[in-house]
Amino acid sequence: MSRDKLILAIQSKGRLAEQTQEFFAQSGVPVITGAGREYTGSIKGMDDVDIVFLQSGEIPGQLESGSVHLGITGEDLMREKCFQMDKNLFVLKPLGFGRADLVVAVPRAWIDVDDMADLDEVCADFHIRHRRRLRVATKYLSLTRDFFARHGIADYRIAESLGATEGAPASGSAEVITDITSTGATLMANHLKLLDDGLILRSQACLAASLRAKWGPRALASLRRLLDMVEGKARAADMQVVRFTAGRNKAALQRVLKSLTTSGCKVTLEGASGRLQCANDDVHSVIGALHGAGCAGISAARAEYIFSEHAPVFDDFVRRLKKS
Amino acid sequence: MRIAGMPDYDTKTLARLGAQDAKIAPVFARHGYARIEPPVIEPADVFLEQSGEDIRRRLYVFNDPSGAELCLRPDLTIPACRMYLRGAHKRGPARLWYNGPAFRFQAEGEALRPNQFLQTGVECLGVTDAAKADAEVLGLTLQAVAAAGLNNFEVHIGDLGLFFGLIDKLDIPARWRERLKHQFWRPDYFRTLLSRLAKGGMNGAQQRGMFLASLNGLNARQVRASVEEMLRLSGINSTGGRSIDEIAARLMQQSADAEAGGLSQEIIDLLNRFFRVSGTPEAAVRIIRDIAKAARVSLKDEISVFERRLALLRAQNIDTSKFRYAAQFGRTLEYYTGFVFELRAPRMGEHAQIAGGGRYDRLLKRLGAAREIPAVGSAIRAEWLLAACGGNS
Repeated sequence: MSRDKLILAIQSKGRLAEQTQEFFAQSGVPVITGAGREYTGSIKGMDDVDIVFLQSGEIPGQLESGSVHLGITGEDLMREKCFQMDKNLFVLKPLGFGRADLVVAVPRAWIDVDDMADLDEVCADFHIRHRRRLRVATKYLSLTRDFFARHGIADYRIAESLGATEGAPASGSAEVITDITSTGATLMANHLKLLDDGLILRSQACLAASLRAKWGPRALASLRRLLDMVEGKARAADMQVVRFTAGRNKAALQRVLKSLTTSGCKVTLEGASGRLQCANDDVHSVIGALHGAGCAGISAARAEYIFSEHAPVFDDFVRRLKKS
Repeated sequence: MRIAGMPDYDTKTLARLGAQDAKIAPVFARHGYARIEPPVIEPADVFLEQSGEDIRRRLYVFNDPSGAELCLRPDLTIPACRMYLRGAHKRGPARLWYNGPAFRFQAEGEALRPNQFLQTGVECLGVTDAAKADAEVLGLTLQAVAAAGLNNFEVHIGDLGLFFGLIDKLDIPARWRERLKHQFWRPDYFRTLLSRLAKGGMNGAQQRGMFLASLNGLNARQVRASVEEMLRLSGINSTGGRSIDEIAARLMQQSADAEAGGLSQEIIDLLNRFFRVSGTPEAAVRIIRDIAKAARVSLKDEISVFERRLALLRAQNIDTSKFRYAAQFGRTLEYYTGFVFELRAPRMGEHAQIAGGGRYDRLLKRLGAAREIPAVGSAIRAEWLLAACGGNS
């Protein structure tokens, strides 16, 4: 890979990989798999970006060591696998897909256990009765450990799970689990129940930047462009562009445009023809107001992208990068 | 590439550490302690089971080629105890000492501590006179650091026996007692627990109010039957590692506790007053006696052990009035059961804690002994002691 390219790591397989590709495609920057090479790719129209396809578990580590600039994976994995996430990573954007909750679940038969305080008591009691610590099956060792510590629970053992964690209580390899659940149906099927205050983390896919990677001017410029595209697309999805031709009553139009500007619409008027951007939900009331002011030739349409001259996320990242 | 936190012992440092060892060894030998060297590599499981999950973040865990999960020992007390249990001393008292490396991972950005360090320690195992053994081990530690040349340090002490004794004598449900004892090492959570218990226990138990009320007055067999019925109605046929009796027993306790109401303000005040006690041991013991008296709780036995220990230390010409006692002080290791102490050289900053130890009467049984074996030990951080003594030989 040539110097100072932006390297973006995304998952090579699984549901999140598909959703990530979909996300880039919808943002107008589709991912192209490298010809004949399965592990690298590029983004259409952005020559300064290289894509590497990695296993989901590898992405946090690569971000933390700085071997990639950007990465997309679940927040759960980033928090679990990163040694010092807050120091080495900067979460640019939660992406709204790949939603999953990491939760504590116990056997439904434990009708005497509803919350973490109950579990604390049962842990202590279990240790005395069974002469060993209660086991918690999980793939998320560090998130579980921190969560249990916050609830003052110390009398337990983690049984690291490699496969289907939710089956651990039934197979006898653990008593309790912490696991990712998106619906809760799997828990029910395995005779498990959530604890009332057992939500460890509400996770979704995130775009994160490494604070440890070498950020040259080209890589930064590419990041800025990529964010512009992604945010421009997201903005365009929320907004409509309304075009109109001013009528005779200039004063009435000025009053309406002024009030629309204060309520957040972006208005441009060149001679008699004008256009404004407004939120999808406001489009009917905006059109009504323009009619009222005697405008003609009103149309509303979606833009492909709506760009902004401000890039707050990018600016925050650059500030943070300078500090670290 | 050098691994951060792994020390290089150069010739000069080795000579100094060797010289320090040569000064300390005769002190231990004079008191009948035999030198041992337990294995550096131990099963990871033992430390996780005894010290809890919190140790995992500090533990160097790895697999040997056969797949067994092993670790580098994070301290020498557990390896020394395991060696004792394997050895010929099995049935009798033993006085052991060691000087060897221990390994604890320190994350970058945490206090700058080495990942590998030397522990010079003693373990006094199977001696039934607790006060005497406690005084012997602290006395020995003080002599050892004095022999190494350290004379400017503080001695901090605590006694979990007083706290456990106090809790045991409170008129509260037994399971609340266990929880309170359990949270001694986590003062923040201890406060949360107090306010929870003041409200009559846990949220979960309140939700179960109706069901618990329906159990009131039933005997164990009837409660068991009603739990079974409830599980059958819900179509649950596996109990996931706890027996129905276990679940029924806890529900019965909760049902009884629900009648008893919350933890009284009187008891909360008592505990808060107790935890505020600090100062010289002599003054502290007077205050604790007053607190106990006002609460109409007898701590006679616990206080007499405390005072006898002090007397035995004074008999070794140790000025115990210079010690600093704090009721809150329990060190961070949960296996302590009684007397605990630390030697600190404040001018050493991050590396102030030169030595520490305490009584751990339950550990040996948990490690496989047939019964509880009284035990007390102490460990000196050899490099920090050397630094505190100015590194001079």
